[in-house]
Amino acid sequence: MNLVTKPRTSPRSPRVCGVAAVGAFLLGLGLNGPVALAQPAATAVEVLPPPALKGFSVSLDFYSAVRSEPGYRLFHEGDRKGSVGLELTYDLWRAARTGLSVGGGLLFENDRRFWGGGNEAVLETGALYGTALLRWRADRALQPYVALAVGLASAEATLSVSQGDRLEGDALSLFGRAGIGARLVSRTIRLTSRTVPGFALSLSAELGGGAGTAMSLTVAPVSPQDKANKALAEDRLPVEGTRLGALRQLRSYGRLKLALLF
Amino acid sequence: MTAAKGRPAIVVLPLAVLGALGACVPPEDRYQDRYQQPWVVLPPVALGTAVAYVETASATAFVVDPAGSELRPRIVPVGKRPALAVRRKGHNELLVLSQGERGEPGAPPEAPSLKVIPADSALPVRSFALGSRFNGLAQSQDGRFVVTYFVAQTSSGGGASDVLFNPNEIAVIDLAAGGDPPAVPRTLRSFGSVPLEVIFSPELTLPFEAGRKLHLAAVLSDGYVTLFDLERGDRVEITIPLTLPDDRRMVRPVQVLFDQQDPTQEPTLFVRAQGANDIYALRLTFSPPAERSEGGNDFRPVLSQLGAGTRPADMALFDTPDGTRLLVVSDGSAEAFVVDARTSRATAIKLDAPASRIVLFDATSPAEPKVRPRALLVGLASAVQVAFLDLDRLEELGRRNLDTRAMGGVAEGLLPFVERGLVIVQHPAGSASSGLSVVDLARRTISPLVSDARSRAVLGPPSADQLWIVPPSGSRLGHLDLARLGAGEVRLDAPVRGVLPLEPGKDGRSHVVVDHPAAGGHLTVLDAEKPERATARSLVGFLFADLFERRVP
Repeated sequence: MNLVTKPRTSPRSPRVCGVAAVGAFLLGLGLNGPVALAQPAATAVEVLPPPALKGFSVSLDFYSAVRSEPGYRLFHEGDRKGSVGLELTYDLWRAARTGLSVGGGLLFENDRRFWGGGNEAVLETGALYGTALLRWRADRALQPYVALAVGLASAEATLSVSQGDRLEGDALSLFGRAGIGARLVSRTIRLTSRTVPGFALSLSAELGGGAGTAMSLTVAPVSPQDKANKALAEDRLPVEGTRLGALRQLRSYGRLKLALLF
Repeated sequence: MTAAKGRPAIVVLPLAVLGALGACVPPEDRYQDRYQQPWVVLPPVALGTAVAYVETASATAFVVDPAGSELRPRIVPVGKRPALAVRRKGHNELLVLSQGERGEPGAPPEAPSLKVIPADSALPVRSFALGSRFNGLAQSQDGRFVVTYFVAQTSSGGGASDVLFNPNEIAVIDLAAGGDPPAVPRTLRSFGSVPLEVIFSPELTLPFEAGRKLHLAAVLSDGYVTLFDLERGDRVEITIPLTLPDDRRMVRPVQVLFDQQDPTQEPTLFVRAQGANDIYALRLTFSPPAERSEGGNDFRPVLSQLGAGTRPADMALFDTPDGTRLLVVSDGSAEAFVVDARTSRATAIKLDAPASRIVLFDATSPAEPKVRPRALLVGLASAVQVAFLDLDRLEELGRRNLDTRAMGGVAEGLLPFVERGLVIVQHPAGSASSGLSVVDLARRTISPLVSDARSRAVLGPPSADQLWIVPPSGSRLGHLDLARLGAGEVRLDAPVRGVLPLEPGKDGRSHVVVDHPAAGGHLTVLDAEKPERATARSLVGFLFADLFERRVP
């Protein structure tokens, strides 16, 4: 099968990208039925039966989490929140119908909300995690899996208030999550030029839940002038920080994963 | 290309994708959360050795005790929509009047309430349910009785959001009664006005009722005064019109004094009103049971009118060997009147300038080393002089008891600090003496202090030695050592919005809390005896303390 591809370059929101990618994948790559193909061209590729790959996977992840902690409402209106991540895995062990992958990933979450008539609250969270996926083949292209992950999340909160100095603080959280999902894998694609190794594309959909240690946030005033002038900062009166409270880490999530397998 | 052999893929994959996409559906705005409400903080209140703030959106009180090793606020929930927070007189307790919640879809209604929060965390918080969404509160001098009422035309609105409310409805709460009894509702008889102010009597004695103790409230309304017994909710109120029915004058009562130096004599109330040249005297006489209506009182007021010059502006009671006398000053005439309430005989004393404020004090004078009762008379916004009046044998000696002293400028306000023998006179902007004058009551000196005329002067508790000067802008707090009249200032990290001098703690040290404008709260604690930057501490953002863990509507 030959296919002409054209990379998308225009920026889109994670949610739009995810939906579009699913549509494209379902229409063009994942289904096993006959597909009308374009004629070969200069950038032609040939598609071979999978896997014949080295076992690496790099993915772009789109998450939508439902956070049960009401404290998040300071930073985000509502309980649901979308975020993006990157994940790299390696097939540690492969058998005829099952396989175990391990890897790691990054997750970025950004919350921002105006509240209380002129105040702004921002919470920027980054997470680094390790993951393991146990997969089996239900079909030539369909691979249900179970995923586990543990990691460390770091959050930085900023409260910009209508009067007075900005307040900043940060917190850490150890977390774990588990999910079940299904991966749809394309055939192996090889460029006819043979200079690029073969690869495959996959789309995964995953549902799960996670928990972690609560993020205890304490904020203290930060003056922009103080950052620029150390003497000014040292001249400040001693200030005690204010504990905003603890953000309990309990959430359920949905995840769409677009991966490149090689 | 061949067709798929694994048909389960057709079923499983769409289900998984749909499940994941389901989590991406935009969230429904299911509730009006508290973060959408304006962040409003009521003015801070000094509670003895602590200071309290109330934030309205999350209905939370914050009590900060500067004497503690760390400045961490104690957080106390209060009723929803708090409208007013004041100190309970004579107690280190915070009274928070909340209007409650009417109820919305998904948000249950909450009754309005009055919460009593002690500064001492070991003492319990008390709550009194109210029947209406009041927005005004008055309390007796000893803090025992609280009357909640509707204040007309305020931003907090009172019950204005209700479908219907009666602005003449009030509630009486006896905070000294055991078991936290419910508030006693009462609806005042109205002649077209609403309560303007509630004034409480000291403990009076009814000599004709075997010495029964009487705690009386006087509610001031345009054109009339209403009296009711605070302890007898079943007794009807007594309404006293201040004008005849065909008199169209607008008479607004503004001041009430209670006189009962001799418990064997019937108590008397003196009412001063704007729009009237007379002082109204209400003597409480015996009401025989046969003449009482159902729920009637065992006393009834007998009204008499005392002439006291033109436009009486202030009045004060003082004792003489011949009984109590009423001293009245009028800004319409340069005279003071001494009125014998029993005989209605008034003695006029010619002043050098009209006076509108009276400050009574006991002190020596430059001519007499003996401590005697005296009065300082000041004409606000009119005179550039003050008058000292010796009250001893005043009716006999008249003007010979008068001593007038010149002042640098007209007075705009007074801060009496009689315990220290001082009165602080505030001058308006543009006057000859810009700033303040300190009047030494014994030495009768008037010391001018130069400051920005828009500054505010704040006095501490009676034991304090400092007068605090809050500038209209800038981050420097001024202070004046009252013992030696030495002025100083301390530089702070933020503009000064207010200052709250506190009482000495258990260690004998006094602190002053400086309030800075900041949405999250910003205060600086200074040593009141030695206010300097080296020993200052700040607390910033404390109104955000435990923000995540506060209740959500």
